Amino acid sequence: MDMRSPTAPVEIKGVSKRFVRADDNSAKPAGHAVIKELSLSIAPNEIVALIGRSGCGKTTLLHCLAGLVAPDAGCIQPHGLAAQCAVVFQDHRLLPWASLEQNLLLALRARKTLDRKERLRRVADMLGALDLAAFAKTSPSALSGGMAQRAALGRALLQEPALLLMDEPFASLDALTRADMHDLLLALQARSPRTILFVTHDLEEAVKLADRVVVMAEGRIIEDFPIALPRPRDLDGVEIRTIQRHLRGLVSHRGESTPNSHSINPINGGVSPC
Amino acid sequence: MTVLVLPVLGIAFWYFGSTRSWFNAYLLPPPVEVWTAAVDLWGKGLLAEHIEVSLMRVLVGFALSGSSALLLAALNCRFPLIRRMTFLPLEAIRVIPPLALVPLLILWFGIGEGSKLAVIILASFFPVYLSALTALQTVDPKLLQMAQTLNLNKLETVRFVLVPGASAGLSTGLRLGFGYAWRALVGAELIAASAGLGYLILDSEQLARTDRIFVGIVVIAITGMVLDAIFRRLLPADDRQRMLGGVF
Repeated sequence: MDMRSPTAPVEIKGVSKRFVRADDNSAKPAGHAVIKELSLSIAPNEIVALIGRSGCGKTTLLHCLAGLVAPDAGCIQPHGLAAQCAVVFQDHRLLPWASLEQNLLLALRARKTLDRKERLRRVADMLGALDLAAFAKTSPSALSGGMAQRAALGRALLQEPALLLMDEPFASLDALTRADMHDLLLALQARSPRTILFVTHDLEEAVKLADRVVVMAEGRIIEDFPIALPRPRDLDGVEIRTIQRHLRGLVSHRGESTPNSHSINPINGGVSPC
Repeated sequence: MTVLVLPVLGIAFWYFGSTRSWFNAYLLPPPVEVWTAAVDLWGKGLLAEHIEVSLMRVLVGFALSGSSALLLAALNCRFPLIRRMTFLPLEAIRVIPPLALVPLLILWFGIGEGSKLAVIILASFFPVYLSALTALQTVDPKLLQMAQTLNLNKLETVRFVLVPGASAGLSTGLRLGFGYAWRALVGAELIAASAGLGYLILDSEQLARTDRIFVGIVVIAITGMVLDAIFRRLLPADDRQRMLGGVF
């Protein structure tokens, strides 16, 4: 097995991005700085949730890490990380003209060392783990939203990424399916840990899943909040509720986006680009 | 069956009208005469020859126009600079009816096959080109972004995402283009042809054989529809056929 789990942390150092061209952020005026000298370190196998108001630069940061957008300044380590990232988007992005199995096989396409038999075996294993084995030959259009998103997660995991990026991966699902997806993700993480950075608007989701919650406002990190609670987490517990309240306060007061005096770990700024 | 109602009614009206001398037999010969003329032409081997010559012309012309249109659409989709540079010349050529260019085409290519092929190519290039360009440009950018995150190389992206994503538009363009190529046949065969369905019609006009003109027109219609049906079967049009079974 060519596991590509990282031993080195993911380091984002002084990354800035300014949009000149109307792209994903077409609502922004040209030249708007979306990320401002942002630095963040993610330990191996850590789950980090990225929260913040719409337009604060969360998705752009994810796109920078995935290599979909080139940062204007700063650096991301380890070198060549983008090629080792997998992305789960809010929509499943399965090819509608290919079967589920074919869609998942695409994730192994870039792994030239694997023969076809091995690829098929891995896809079959993954579909089994996701409880989708019966749908291998099914078109994505015949799947429910939850099933398709599970398949998208499976496709990303098949890439065995050094860093798994998820952009509001469960936002379009109903509450019950979302809870199932949370359990599935935690189960998969317990079985085969990965470094994960995910964007969410759901504070409950963030505190339920993440080892750390990073709060962004106006292109900067204003809080880096570790959640050292055992799993499974009781969402009605006092500690969780206190953390949620604290985070909600931060997100809703994004006007004052200077590093907060209550920050556990303000790591924003001061890092020279490498 | 309902698709046959109007044609059958039309032929019946034509037949009864002819037997009751409602129409001038020179302007609209009775169906029996047309049928007899068709059997006569077929018996002499002329009809098959005309069909074969026309088919070859259209197939060769369409192969040339279709492939060049797809190639140019792919280039223009990939390189916006080429798209901007070729925009005005292509637009100018597009709005000129191919028949207006016939005198020039004869001067340039002579009265042989070259000028006839040029008319067919001019008539069928743009439907293929414009449909293909639109189809390629409107492939879901989210899927292309996905392909990038899956680390697919350019060739794999074209094969697994771009072409299947554009296949509906590509096949519509090819079908439209083939229809235009077939329709341009008579125009192409205006140019000093000695065989072909267009030539049959023009020759019959000069011999005042309206029955043969009708034979030519009906054969063009039927052959065109048969070719279109074959085309529809050959080209992937729906998701089921687009499933690239076994090639992944």
